[in-house]
Amino acid sequence: MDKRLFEIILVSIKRRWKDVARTCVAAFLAVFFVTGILIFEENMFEWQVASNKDRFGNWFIMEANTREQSQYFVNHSKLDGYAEALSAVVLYDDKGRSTGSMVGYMSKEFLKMGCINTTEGRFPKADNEIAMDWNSLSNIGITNPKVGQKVTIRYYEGSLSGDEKDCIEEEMVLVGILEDYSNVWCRSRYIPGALVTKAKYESFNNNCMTAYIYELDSEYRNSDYRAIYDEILSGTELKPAYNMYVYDFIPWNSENVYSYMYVIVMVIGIAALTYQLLVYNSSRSKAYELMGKLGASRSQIGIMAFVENALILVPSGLLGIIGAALTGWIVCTIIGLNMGVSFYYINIEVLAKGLLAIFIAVLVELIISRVITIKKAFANTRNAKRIVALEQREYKAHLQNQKKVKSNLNGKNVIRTLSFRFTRANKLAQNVGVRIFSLGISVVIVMCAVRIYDTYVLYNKNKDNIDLTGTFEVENDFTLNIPYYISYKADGSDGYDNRAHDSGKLDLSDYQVTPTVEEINALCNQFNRVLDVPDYGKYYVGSSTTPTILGGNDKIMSRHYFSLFRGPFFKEPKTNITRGISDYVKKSIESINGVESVTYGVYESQRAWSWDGMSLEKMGYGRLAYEKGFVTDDGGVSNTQMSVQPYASRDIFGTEYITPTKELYERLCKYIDTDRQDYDAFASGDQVIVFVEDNPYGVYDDTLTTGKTINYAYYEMLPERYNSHIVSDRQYIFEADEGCLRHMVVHGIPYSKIDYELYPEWYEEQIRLFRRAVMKPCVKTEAAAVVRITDEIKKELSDILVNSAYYMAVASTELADKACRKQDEITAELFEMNIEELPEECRTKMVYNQIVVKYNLISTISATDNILSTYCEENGIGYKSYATTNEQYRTDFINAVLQYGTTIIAVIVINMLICAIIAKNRIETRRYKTELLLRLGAEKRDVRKVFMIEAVREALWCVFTLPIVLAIQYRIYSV
Amino acid sequence: MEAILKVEGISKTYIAGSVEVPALKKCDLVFEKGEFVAIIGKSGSGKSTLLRILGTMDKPDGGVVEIDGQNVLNMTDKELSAFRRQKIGYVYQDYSLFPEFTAYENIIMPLVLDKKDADKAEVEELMEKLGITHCRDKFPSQMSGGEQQRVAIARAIITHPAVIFADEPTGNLDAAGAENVVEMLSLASESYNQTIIMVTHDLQMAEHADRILTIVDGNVTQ
Repeated sequence: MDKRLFEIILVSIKRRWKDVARTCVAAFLAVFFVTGILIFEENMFEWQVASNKDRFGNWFIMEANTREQSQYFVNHSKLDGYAEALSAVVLYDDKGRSTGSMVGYMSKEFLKMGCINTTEGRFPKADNEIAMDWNSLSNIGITNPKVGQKVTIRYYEGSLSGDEKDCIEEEMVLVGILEDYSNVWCRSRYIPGALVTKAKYESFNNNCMTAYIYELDSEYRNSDYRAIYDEILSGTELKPAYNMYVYDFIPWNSENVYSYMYVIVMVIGIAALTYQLLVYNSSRSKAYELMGKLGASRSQIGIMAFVENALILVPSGLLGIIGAALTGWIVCTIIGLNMGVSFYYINIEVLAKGLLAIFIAVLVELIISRVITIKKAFANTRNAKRIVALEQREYKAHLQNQKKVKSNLNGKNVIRTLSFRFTRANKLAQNVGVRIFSLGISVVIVMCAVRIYDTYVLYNKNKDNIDLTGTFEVENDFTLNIPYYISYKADGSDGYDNRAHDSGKLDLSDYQVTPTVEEINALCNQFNRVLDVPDYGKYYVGSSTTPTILGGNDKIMSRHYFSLFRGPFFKEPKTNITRGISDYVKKSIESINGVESVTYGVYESQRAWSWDGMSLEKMGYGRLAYEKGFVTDDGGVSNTQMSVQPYASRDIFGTEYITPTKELYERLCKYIDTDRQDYDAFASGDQVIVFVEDNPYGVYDDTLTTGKTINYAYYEMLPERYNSHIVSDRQYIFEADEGCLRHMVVHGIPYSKIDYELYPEWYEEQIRLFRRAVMKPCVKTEAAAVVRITDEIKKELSDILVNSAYYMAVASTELADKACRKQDEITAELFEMNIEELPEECRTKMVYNQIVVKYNLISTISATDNILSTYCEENGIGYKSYATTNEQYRTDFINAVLQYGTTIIAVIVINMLICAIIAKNRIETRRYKTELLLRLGAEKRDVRKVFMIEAVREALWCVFTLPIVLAIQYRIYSV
Repeated sequence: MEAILKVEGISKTYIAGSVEVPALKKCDLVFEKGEFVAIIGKSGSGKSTLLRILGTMDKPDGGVVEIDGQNVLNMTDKELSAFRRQKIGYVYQDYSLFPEFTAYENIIMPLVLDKKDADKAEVEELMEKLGITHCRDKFPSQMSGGEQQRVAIARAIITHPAVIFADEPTGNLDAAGAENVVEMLSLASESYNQTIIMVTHDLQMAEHADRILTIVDGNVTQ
């Protein structure tokens, strides 16, 4: 290309900088938005992953509980870098209980890799400073921590636990409060939740744990992480923890939606850019025409146009890409800074697709220009022919044949008439085309809105579905015992074989006799033939403790204690009303992103029931159990089978305690006969509603009927069992076990087997007292309704019947309170004191141990289910998640909003663009008429009215965009 | 005779890039009521500029323009629009009719824009005087050039303005048509005591006027 021609182009561009700038801006914006969408897609994915890493750490595997680091992991090709956390001692609370939280030191690399950040304050710098995460603070009883406050740490040196007198107490200054990790991460129990300086750690002169975390090499981004973990495991016998909450998590990423959004934005971007190119190039057409008249060749003109466009478009396009990349980086950095992670990602594909928008726009503009040129040439030819035809006819004759028009133009209708006549002067195709276009926009908007609405309806219908239920479970070896009585006639011949271990007659000589006849009679009246014991001798499940005969003159009462074995068809009972979810855990759950609501409940499965006419057989014990292979020939229990689902997920007895609101009761009234409906009785705990599941062998137990009294047994909080109720350093089966044990220790009351040997009579008396007490019901309640449960009922009452049991009662929390008070009476009697004197720590209190969680829309992109599930797992909450089913509705709705919402926005923008183009066009084509009107004395606002009447008539074909379209056109016509 | 239009010291300079073009140099003019004045000058002499200023379509750089006793330079847009409707008529070289309105509608357009009803009898009489009765319900595309220009003249007269400005009214017409139009203008001036100021480059047409003004390089001379 000639240098002088190039100079001419540059000078021309410089002098027309305003027009050029408009085109540059259009190109910049088109590329900016197209590139922006692509960057958004890529980093939406990255953001979700980073968000997850922020919570669970950016490590791939953790090697924990080791003194010497494995070089295998250090040198593994797929792992990149490691970091170390050292734990010195375990923290104890002010009651001398181990909290499980550890004090230790984390390297800077560990803090970074683990994404461990302070929510307040800072990391310790001095040796008397400490930073703790919320969980550790809560464990030592600090629920409202403040930076700067003094905290007392209690620990034992040398071992994990020790005698209380060796406990060291030390006061430190809390300088930092950390985001939770010590009850959230995988293997979180191996890392310290309380951090001190390195020097302070070394001063403890103890190391109880070392953990190393390793990062995955960035080369393996988006790989099959599980496969990499398995590959790493295959080369070692060690079993490092795998950060599955990060690497098995699948972020929300709808390819269809993104592709759709990309296409829409591309179309709008290209349309806008094409329009601007058309306007620009048509403004240059006269200049090029003149060039031609001055002697420039077609190729010279072509080169000029090409170079001009390139000089305008290429820098603008590149700036658009840089702008989008920069904006994306700024936004992601700000988000990342808040989260403490960095996640911005961009690749060459994104850049290339951005430039593609320009390329396509130029191509489209070239095609349109060519079409317009051809049309013009054709029109010129047609006009020329028409003029010739006219000249060839007699002019007057031609005029005489034209139609005449009557007029009703006046001062009142002049504006309207002007508008209508101007409209009529448009080509029919234009008038019809504009209306059909507007109608088309309406149809698209309606269809998209309908689609969004459809998904919303489904989402709304299901949004109250429960997403996760959880119950705090005490891991223990627990047996439910049912006390029962059988009364005999004096000769022992009432036909029942009631012996647990042999089928002979009752041998009375081994048994004790209770002192009072009145008591025997009273018990007889309560428990006459409580239990039908199968008469095939040894073939029944369960065991009986040594029967106690309550003798009298002509009556013998046999009291038995029947242990219900779990086996493969029943769940081991793990819940009681005294152990629950801590306030801290509740607060943490509620603060998880994506959680809409959390409701709390109380559930227990560790309390036995009994009722008159109870049948072991129909409960699922007995002959059938034997026939199904559950009981062996020698009366033992066969445990060779694994848990059989869904039976083994059901407790035997379960009670859901609810706050007795009238609303809830009205829902339950559906199952209660009208004459039995009594809200007050239900609220006070005198009535319950029972739902019965068929036993594992398909038999329905009809022994429990409406109106029957159900006896709720006591918790077996026996002195001899306090110690055995310890299930770990931190837990007892019943909360008060610990308090009672402490009370006995402190007051020198014998409680252990050793004490039994030393004080047998006292101890026997205690046991007898207790057994006599617990053989009575703790509380009694009436079954207002007994309902054979179905799947429909389970679904309808899914928020109430959160757990599953073969015998499930819905009761008021008042019943639980009553049971607690009765339990306390027994404890007080055991300690030989009045109930008022019973220490607080020995009292039984009802606590919330059940959660019902519903998620909101944000949960789809916040990994809420992932986070909550891990939280439950790490905090002893057995849970069931239903999110996968519910997620579909939320995902569909979000996808619809994005996809069809983008479409609606796109068509509105296109409609606005087209209307603006039409308005500008009209101003140009009617410039002569507009000026004439003004010269004739029309006011500017009247002239605007003329145009606006036409605009309104056209805009009515798409009422959705009417306001904005009219606003735009009003603005254009005002200028 | 009373002066219907007075200008004192008006001038107009256009700026093209860095060059100043004095289109009109200081001039003082008075036009009497019922006078038919022709302004002649070559292309680029400033006659169109003068007409635009007199017709309130442009503002001079300085001076005073008084029409029917009112200083038009101080008027707001709204006042000016009303003034144009009521006090000024315009006849253009290209007729400037609305192609979608009939001759009758084009004629009454200034009245209806002023929210007034047309006196049909008056319009019919005017049309008859101008010889365009047969064009009443025709569209401009159905009329000859001369007929269209006569419709334009009728439109200019119908509001009985203070002044009618005609800018090269015969420019697009043949000799016969031109002659006819100028006669119509002269007739209108006599019949309605109408002040008409006509700009033309054609001396022959100008001779129909009562007075001829010459404009050369922005200077107006009698």
